[in-house]
Order: sequence, then C-alpha cells, then structure tokens
Amino acid sequence: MARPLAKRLAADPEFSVMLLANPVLALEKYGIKLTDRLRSHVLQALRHPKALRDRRAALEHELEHKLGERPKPNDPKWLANQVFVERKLSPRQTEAASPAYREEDPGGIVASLKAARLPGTNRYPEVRRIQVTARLGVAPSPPTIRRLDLDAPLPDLPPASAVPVSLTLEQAWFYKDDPVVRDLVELGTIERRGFRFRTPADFRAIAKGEKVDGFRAFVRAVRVDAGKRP
Amino acid sequence: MSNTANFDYCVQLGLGPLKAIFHLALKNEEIFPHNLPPIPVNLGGHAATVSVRLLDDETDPADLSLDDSKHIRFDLPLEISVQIPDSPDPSLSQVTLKSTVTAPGKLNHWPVDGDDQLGIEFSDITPAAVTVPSLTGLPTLDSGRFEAALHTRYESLPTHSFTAVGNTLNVYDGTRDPTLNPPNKAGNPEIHGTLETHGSVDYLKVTLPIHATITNPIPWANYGIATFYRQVDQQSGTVCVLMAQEPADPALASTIAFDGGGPIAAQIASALKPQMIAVLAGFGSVCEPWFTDADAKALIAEQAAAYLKPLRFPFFTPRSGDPDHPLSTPVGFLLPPTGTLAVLMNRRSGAEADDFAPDDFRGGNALALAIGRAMLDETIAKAIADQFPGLNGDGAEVTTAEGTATLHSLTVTPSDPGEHDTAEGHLWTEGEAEVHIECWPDPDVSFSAAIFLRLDVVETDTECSGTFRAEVGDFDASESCCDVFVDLLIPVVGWIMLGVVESMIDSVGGELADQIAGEQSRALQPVPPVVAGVAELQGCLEGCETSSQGLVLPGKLRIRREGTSFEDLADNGDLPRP
Repeated sequence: MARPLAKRLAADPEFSVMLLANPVLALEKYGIKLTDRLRSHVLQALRHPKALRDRRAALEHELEHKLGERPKPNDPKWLANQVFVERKLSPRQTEAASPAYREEDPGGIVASLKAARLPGTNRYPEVRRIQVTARLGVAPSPPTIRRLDLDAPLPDLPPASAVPVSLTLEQAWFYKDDPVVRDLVELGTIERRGFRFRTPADFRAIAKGEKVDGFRAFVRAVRVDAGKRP
Repeated sequence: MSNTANFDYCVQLGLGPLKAIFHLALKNEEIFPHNLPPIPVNLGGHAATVSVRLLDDETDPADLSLDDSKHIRFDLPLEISVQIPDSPDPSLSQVTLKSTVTAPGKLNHWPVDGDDQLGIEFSDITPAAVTVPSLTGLPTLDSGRFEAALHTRYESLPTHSFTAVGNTLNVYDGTRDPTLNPPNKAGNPEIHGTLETHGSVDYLKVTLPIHATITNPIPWANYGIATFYRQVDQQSGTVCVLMAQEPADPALASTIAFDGGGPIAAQIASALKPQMIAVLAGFGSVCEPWFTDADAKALIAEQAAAYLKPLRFPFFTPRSGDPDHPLSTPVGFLLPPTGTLAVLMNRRSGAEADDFAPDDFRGGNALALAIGRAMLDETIAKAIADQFPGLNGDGAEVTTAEGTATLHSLTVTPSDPGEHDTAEGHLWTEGEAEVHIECWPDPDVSFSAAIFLRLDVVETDTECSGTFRAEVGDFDASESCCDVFVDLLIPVVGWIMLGVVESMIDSVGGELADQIAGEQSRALQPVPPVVAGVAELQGCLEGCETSSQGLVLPGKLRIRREGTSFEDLADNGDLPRP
C-alpha cells in the first residue's frame, strides 16, 4: 500500500496533513479504502504505542470485571456516580486545590539546558541600597492530563457539604487513595492521551479550513517513502 | 537597520537616566570639584586671580542634551570671580560673573582597574567650543568704585602732609588721618570722584580737600580744593585711572582753588600745583577688573574649558570580575533624535573605525537590551546542536510515552511581524521528523509554526520577577500527540531563550547570582548595577520582543546615589543631632 499512497500523496501534498486528523478518512479521500480489519488495525496502531495500548487493555479488563460494566472515566457524570455512589466516598473540597503534575523531560533536554546555564558572576559585592531584587526564569510547563502524577501525595482536604454530580479526571485525582478510583483516573488519562481521530464532521471542517487544529497549524506535509519498509 | 550594529549586544538608556546619572556625578566633589583654588591669570598686563565655582541647584540647574553621535552638550552654571591683587582693595573691587555655559563632552571609554568604562570626557575641549549665551555680573563704570579705591590708596600713603622750603601742603580725606594739623575743615570733606566724558574719552574728575600753610615769603594759610582729571583707561580685563598722568587738554588741567586768601591765593595755587601733581602721582595707578560683554564671555569660555579639560565621569561601568576573562570595551553612540545612549558590547565584525550607530529600539522605555540576529542565530543553533546531536547525521531520536520520532532537522528563525501570516514578531520553527508507527512505513512529517516568546513580569515594592514563557500559535491542540510535540518544544525554547538572555547579561556586565537548586529562576542584574563612584542602578526587564533583528528586552531603571545620602541617614535615624 505504501507505493500507491506515496504517489497519491505526492500528487496532492497539501491534503496529506489530513492523515493526522483521521487517517482512515484521509486514505479514503486518496482513493484507498481499507477493509474493516485493516481499518481497526490502523486506528489501534496509531492511537497508542504498544506499552500504553497494553496497559489500557489491562485496566479496561480489570475495571470492567470489578465494576460490572464498561468503564467510562471521561464521562464526568458516570465518574461522579462511581466515586460518590458506588464507591461511597465522601466528597472533599477540591475547588482551591490543584492536582500534582510531573515535570517531563524526554531525553533530559531541559535538564541539560539547565545544567548549561552560566554560573553566577557575583561581580558587584558592594552593599546595595536599592532594596529590589530582579529575577528571571522559565515558566513551569503548563499542566496537562498526561502529566497527572498518580504517585504524588494527596493534600489534606476538608469535607465538602454537597456531593458533586460530575467529576473530571483532574477532580477525581483527589480521590486516588481509593484503588479503583486511581485505576479509573489512570485509564481516563490514557484514553485522553491517545491519538485523537477527528469525527467525520470535524474532518470535513478541518479540511475546508473552517476549523484549525494543531496539525493544520503546525504540520505542512506528510510523505511516505515508497521504498521504506515497515 | 540594525539593533546592534556590528556588535552582538546593545544596551540603550534614555535621556532621563542619563540626566539622573549626570546630576549624581555633579554632586561628587571628586569628579566635579565645585570650588577650585584661585587661578592666577594675566589681564591686560595686570596680574589677576580667577576663582571658578560650579553650581547645580534649583536656581541654577545643570542640564544636558545630545549634540551628535559622540558628543553631549552640557549646560553648566558657572560663577567666576575675578580679583586684581594690586588693586587698592581687591575684595571691594571683585567682579563676579555668572553664566550657564554650554560645553560639549565627548563619549569615550577608558580603563579603570582592568575594566573599560564608558563615559564622558572633556580632554579635547577648547574655549571656542564653549558657548556663553548670557551672563550676569558684568561691571559698569562706576565712580563709586574708584572713589573707594582712592580712599584705600589714601590710607596707604605714608604721609598726608608734604613740606617743602617751609611751606606745608596737607591733603585730607574726611577724618581718615586724624593726626593732620590743622585738621580737616568743617564738614570733613572727603576725596570725591565723578566720571565725565570729554570728547570721546572717559575721565575721573577728582576733588581733593587740601590745606596750605605758607611761611615764605609771607605767612599765609588756607583750606582749598584740588581738582584734577585723570583718563580712564579701559583694557581687556581691567580699567585703570593713571593718577600720575596729567591730561594734555589744557581745559582738563589740574587746578587748586582756595576758600579765600585774597589776591595772593591764585599765585600760591599756581606755585603749589607741581607739588600737588607729585602728590597725586603718589596714588599710583588705580586699576579694577573690567570686562566688556565679549571680554567676559571669552574669559568664561576660557576658564570653563580649562576647568572641564581634565574632567571625566562614567555612565556605564561593567566589571568582569575575572581578570582572565575581561569584558569587551563598551562602545557608545548617542542617538539625538530620540535622546538615547546606545552602549555596544562584543564587536562582531570590523574594527573600531568600522563601528556605526545602531537603530533606536528603546521606544519609550528607560532601558532596553538587545541581542543581535547573528549572535541569536549562533546561540540557538548551538543549543539545538547540543541537545539534538544526531541532527547532523542520522537524526535525533525523540521518545515520549505517547510515541517516538526521529528529528531530521530543526531550525528556529527570529521573524518580523507580518511574516508567515503572523501579526506579531515570532520565532519561526521549522523541521522534518520521521514518525515511527508500528507495522507501517514511517511517514515523514514537515512541520512549522510561529512560537511567541513572552516575558511575564510580576513587580512588587521589593521584587521584579520575569518568567519566560513560549507560546505556540492559536489552535486547539487538545490532548493529541501534537500537544505532546508542542509541549516538548515549549520548555526547550523557553530554556534556550533564558540561556540567550543570561549570556547577554553576562556579556554586557550585568550580574548573575548563583543558582539555587530546585528554583526555576534566579536573581540577577540585567545591567551593571553601579556606575562607579556615582550611582547605583537597578534594572527590571519588562518584556521580550522578537524580530528579524534579534531580541529586544525593554525595561525600567531605578537610580540612586551611590554611598550614603541624606535620605539614607534619615531612614536609618543617623542624621547628625544638634
């Protein structure tokens, strides 16, 4: 399939970006219709790398067995019901608190840049009379779901008077001392970390330029080398 | 068009900070002596002393403006006092001229303790370069000054009674000589002088009370008045009355008139006249300082140039702190249209003769720092090469839990507003990556995006904290793998840019405090925090602007006097007590 795809991408390179919005729909647009089996394979292979895919399957299997139903951790109402009704956990005041996030640094690039900072110069030892200190630094990474730290300690939170009717994954993190909730938060996080395939409607809107997503803004072209082997 | 000309870095200061530093330098007696010892000069052949005093207060403020790319014109209020030591009473006849002169100072650099300072020096100043727009204290011809001089000179004469062949001539000046016999007549008349002009010549007409006692050939005694005219001689710097010089005009000849004495009085007066003229000669020449407007301005210009010639004061005094790694020499350019001092550091190309003025990038800010495009490109390229060493070969592997890719190229290009359909200045990031997908031939992805570099600043009374934050164009990345990519890139860009800015601060002589483990930021001084011997500075960076010229970081500047001021003592409760 690589050879005809490479040819067709080369003939219409601008549209190639749409492979990242929804590869199945984009391939169809390029005239390559996949069988159901192959379509499923493509979506599975692109959604997560193998390690995450295995972990997701394990969590889904385990939770379904414990809960008696398919887990839906990214459904806030379903999640609130699980935490406060099924698990009977007492609500906590989480409004003013923020979950803990890990600082990720693949390849140690940031650590290396930090280590390469210039040492202090301390050139002017005189007593300063202007009592203002200037500081300069780099903002910490913005919090993202994939960095939710499930191993961080929970803060002490007072009980809340009302039971929430919905619960996001970030809010559910404050109940991760319950092992089932912890697994739900981990599963929900993996689900949200997956390659997001756009719906047919979104796909059409992105293709027309009516909607801008990261790929459209960032990626200029996708090419496949016809001679490249998987 | 260049923010940093042929240099890597440029610091720009506005006119406000320059004036503040100048006024603080003016308060420093070591830099600008305010009271100099009297200077001996020759005024029209007469020895004189000149005292110069520099002023800078609410009534007579000093000021500065920018002349050209290398000269600042200073408005300096000066007070110049001129005395002629051999005048009868120098303190009474002193002339004090006051003017706000304008004088050019040259932007230059000089070494101090192994580091080069940038400032103003006056070594090539000449009197012709000093302008004296107006002055006060110009003397006027005043008979009272001569009269006072004659009183003093009278008192210094060894005797006021002159005897010849039994005849005695007494000269009086009120009661200044109580030993005379007989004493002055009723009313004690004094020597009196008035200025009169005859033809086009000024004369001092002097009346001198006298008494003559004649014994030979007949006894006769009487009071009288000697009247004489002496020419007023105006020279450059002095005005003199030559008491020994009888006018040629017979109408102005010296005369003696007695109060009575009958017909013989006229004969006696005529006989006494030569003796009287000799007595007048004893008064010598009576000289006073004297200036026409042009003379006074020439004197002030000359003295101002002489005063300023050895002086210099700094504006920018970066220190290396490490003798083995000296900082480059700061090179200054003035940008008169916007009132800006540009300090260039780290010459990138050419020699001193090739240096040229940078563009003004300060805007309305008191302070702004810039890093030039070439240096920025180099620093970014080095950081990318260091962090992704495989880019020059088979590519650099980037691995996250969400996937892996091989980065084949990555470039970051500072770009102007309007480029790449982006309204704001940005870092244009482009690259090629091969995304690894199981069971599929790995697709190659070309990507590009505008990254905006923000500096978020929080200011309090005691702190000015800036945080670099990179931001990617406006799109909904959500939690896709694209977000992972962006999320990786953003902190990397932020830390690279912090490294760029810290390197600039180091190179322009700012100060970096030691890093504190676990802290994302550290204390620093973006520019040298002291102007040696003059002022203490504290810079606060307030933004970060990206363009094809490089980076500009505008900010503000606090300035105060170096050392202990009245306000410091007041704050500490250490003011002297009565």
